[in-house]
Amino acid sequence: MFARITNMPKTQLPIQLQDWFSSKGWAIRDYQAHMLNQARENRSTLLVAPTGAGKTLSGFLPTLCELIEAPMQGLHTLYISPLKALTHDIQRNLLAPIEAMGVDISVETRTGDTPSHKRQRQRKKPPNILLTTPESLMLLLSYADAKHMFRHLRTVIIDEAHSLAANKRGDFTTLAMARLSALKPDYRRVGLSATVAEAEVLAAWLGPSGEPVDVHRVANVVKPKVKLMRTTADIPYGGHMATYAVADIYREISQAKTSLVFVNTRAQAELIFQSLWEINEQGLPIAIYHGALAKDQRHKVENMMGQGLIRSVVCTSALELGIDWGNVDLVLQVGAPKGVARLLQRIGRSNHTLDEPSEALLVPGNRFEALEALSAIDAIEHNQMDHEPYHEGALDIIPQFIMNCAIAGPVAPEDIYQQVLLATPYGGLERDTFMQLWRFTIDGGYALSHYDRYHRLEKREDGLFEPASKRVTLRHRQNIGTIVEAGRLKVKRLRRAHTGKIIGEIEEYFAQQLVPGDTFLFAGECLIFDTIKDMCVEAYPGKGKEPKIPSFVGGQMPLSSFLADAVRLLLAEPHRWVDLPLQVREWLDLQAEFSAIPQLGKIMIEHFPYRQAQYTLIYTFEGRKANQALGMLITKRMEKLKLQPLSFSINDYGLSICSLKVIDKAQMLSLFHPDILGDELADWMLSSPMLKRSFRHVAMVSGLTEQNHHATRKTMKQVTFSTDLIYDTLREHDPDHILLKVTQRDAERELLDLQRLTDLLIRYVGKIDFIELPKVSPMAIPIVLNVRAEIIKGSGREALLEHATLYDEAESMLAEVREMLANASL
Amino acid sequence: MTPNHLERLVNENIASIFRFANKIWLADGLGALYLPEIHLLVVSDLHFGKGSFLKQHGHPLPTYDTIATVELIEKLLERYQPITVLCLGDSFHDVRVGERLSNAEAMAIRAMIKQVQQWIWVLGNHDPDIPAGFAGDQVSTWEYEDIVFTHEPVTDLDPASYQIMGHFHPKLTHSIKRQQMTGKCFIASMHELIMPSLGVYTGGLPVDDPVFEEVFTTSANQTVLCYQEKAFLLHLNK
Repeated sequence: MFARITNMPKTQLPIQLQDWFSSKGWAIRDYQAHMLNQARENRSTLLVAPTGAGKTLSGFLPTLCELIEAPMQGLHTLYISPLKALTHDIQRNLLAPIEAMGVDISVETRTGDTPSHKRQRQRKKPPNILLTTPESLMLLLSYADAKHMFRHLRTVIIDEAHSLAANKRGDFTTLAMARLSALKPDYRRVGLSATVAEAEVLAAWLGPSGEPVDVHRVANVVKPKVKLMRTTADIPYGGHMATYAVADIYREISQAKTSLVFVNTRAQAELIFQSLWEINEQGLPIAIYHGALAKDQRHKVENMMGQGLIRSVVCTSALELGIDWGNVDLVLQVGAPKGVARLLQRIGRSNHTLDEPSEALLVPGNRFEALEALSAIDAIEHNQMDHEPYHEGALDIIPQFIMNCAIAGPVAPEDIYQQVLLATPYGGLERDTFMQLWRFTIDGGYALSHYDRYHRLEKREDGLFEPASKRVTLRHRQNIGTIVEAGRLKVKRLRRAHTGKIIGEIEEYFAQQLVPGDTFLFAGECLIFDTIKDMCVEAYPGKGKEPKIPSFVGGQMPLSSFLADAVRLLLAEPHRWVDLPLQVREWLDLQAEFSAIPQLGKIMIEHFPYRQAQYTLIYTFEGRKANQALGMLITKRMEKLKLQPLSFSINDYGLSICSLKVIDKAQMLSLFHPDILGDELADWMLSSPMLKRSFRHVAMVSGLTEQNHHATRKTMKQVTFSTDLIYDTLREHDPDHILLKVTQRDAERELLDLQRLTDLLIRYVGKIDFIELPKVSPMAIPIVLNVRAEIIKGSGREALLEHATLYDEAESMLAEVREMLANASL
Repeated sequence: MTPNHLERLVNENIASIFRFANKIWLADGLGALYLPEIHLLVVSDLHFGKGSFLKQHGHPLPTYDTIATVELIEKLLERYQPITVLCLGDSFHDVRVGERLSNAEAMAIRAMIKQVQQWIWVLGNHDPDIPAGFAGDQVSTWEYEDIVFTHEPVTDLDPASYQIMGHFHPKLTHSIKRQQMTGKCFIASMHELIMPSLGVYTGGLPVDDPVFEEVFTTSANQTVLCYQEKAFLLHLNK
């Protein structure tokens, strides 16, 4: 944690801390001293440092000093982490020095796993240091005694701030901090972040509106050593699982002392883990770790890792944030790295000290991913970083925030509005929009609402608002947060009939496609599905021929736009291809020969028949927002031209459209014509599955509906109904409703606006290379294999169904009816 | 309903024509059933007042569902000009809907009933009573020749007779050329026909749910998928 430096800089550390440092042979680093000075001046600070720099303890050092110098009762420091697991890890790391120093400082965690009696006690008698998550903090703020609990608060530490800032959960966190400021105005904010491209944006995010915190950067002294993994196996054209490389991965694991094998999805974790054990001749202790495993399972792995009993862990992003696992000397990234910052974070898990280079190997899942991997390696070599664009705060969280405040005590809208403005992402929120969200929170705020007798908040005689019932309060507390997940079922590993251990969770839709006897991979073993009982999937361990792999909807990560650009450059610069594996170069040569390589300043379009339909691949390299908007525009025009589009899918490089009809060059050029469809396109977008998806999320976060944890009672399923139906009804009957606005704004995070879309099309004029092919091109394979297609409702699907319709007897039946009706009218 | 009009509905896939219980029926893409022989329109599981039912539990839901469902039925009345309309149960979401309906909603429902000669409410598990003030006969089941119209399946029936029911809200996912189309559906065996739900706030139960096997005395052999407001008579994917 702390560096072994002999000439210790002069700082006024309390004697206990000095002794402890000396006993370890450690000295405090410059930036740790800096953090102490900042704290003495009560200045909020963002510390940006590479992984392995001992950031987290730097954040706590001022707290430890203050608590040693002036012991106190009550809450001094609140630590917020994006991961539950991180809070437990930090607790261990803090308790060690506290016990060694023999000082009286209490440290506790509070997460969804904390038992309720302990949670109650924590509110009455909080520890000095409380380690928690954004959701648990918001929940704490919903109690009437919050002001009392936080009355001594001095410091709030936000760990891994970079991972929170660019998303809804980050918006949510800033609102919680704004609320804390209303309860206890002068606390200090400390942000801890891995290296980011634009620290100033993060500093603004961390501070109250208009008051960015100070930034302190720690330079990255040693560059990590990152290479493509050497392999003689055939790298596949498509797919992301990378099972082809398992023998090589095993070789690397067996040569390293301790390694982490990062994969991109939970399904991939299961598959790679299983494949490794199939060839584990040396019987190496290899474990698996991902977020769907039960707490016990994860703790077991964490403990064994801590004791050095494990050689390698196959893990997902659940492990990439700051958990300290000691002596990892190799990181393998299996599958595309997706982003430079993310890759660096993962790589930083190895050689967890500042002075030695981390070592990492990249294992691309397919040949296209080899391009991404090489681009990422080049970016690291040249100190380039991707960064997330700044965005305005998500509006669906506001109703949740209003409820949260009202539950803690009666509120007036103006007070809450002022608090919301204190959070940087909401600094520009118009009063009018806030009031619409306020009215939504009260009773739905519908224009034609003839039925608003039932309110969530009711006005008291003094003009303040309070929850209408206990049920409202309870439901709000059960649904706090911004993470909307698919329905989950617990997995029970059976020993005997109906008795066994819960080993984790799988998504409901996966569970429902299982029939008794089916096998699936979970928690690193093959299970035979038996039944679903009491919200549990019951399964026996056993062997199966082709076990299924549970997939998780939330599993896919988009590539950073920075990396997409880097890949486009790499393609345009063939002299750099020498660093690619031979097979990948051969694949590119084949592509050049069969079709073409996308060129800078050109839009390459491939069109070919594939799997009983026609595919159009448009290589834009413009990023997902542009590709999504373009997909909607082009399919809309295809629908108009009766080309019968069926679906489209976007990826980081372009988009792929599936249609029934063949498209010729003239038609293709007309699809890109830069005239605007205006309202027509707006309407098409509003009815798209993407907007409905956004609405589903908005509906749950804003409290319109709740995450249905009971949908698993199958026979009741017809009673629940999808938010799509509400969306359609609302659009038709109340088109100006605030939630529709919120949905649109939400979707705009994933979508280019019309003006920029038009600009894009104008730039494309005269630059389109249309290539008709007899079959799928080598480069297109990984893209068309992507199953996440956006369905287009319209003539294409209708044509498919019409074709399948049983018309045989229709004529004779019609004749019969005609005759019958004629006789009846006689 | 002229024969030409009927033919147009079938040719444009607005309705599918099919045989059941030795009669010819039209399954409309909106989810209604029509028997030309006696100009009978059957709708099922309207769930009037479901939005306001849920709203009273603190969900700030829009309650436009009742009006939207009435509008659907108006469209069907216009399309088929039936002499008799049969609502196959669960027309009202709960017994207290009457107290929650707005004047506009109650008037819209009354105006809808008034348009046809005969209006029949088959009672369902959600609506053992029809709220006061609405015309129409209330029956537990309704019979036409050897066909029983009922909300939930009748078990002690003459095996030679037929039954048409609601209650289950069947929905279907059909795959063609690797594309999936999902919608509510009609599903029938030799002797049983299950109608889709018409209410706009009603969800569906996939037809592969074991519940359906229990209802059918022989295995299901016909299905009409309602997709994009059109109707498609399909073989069942197995």
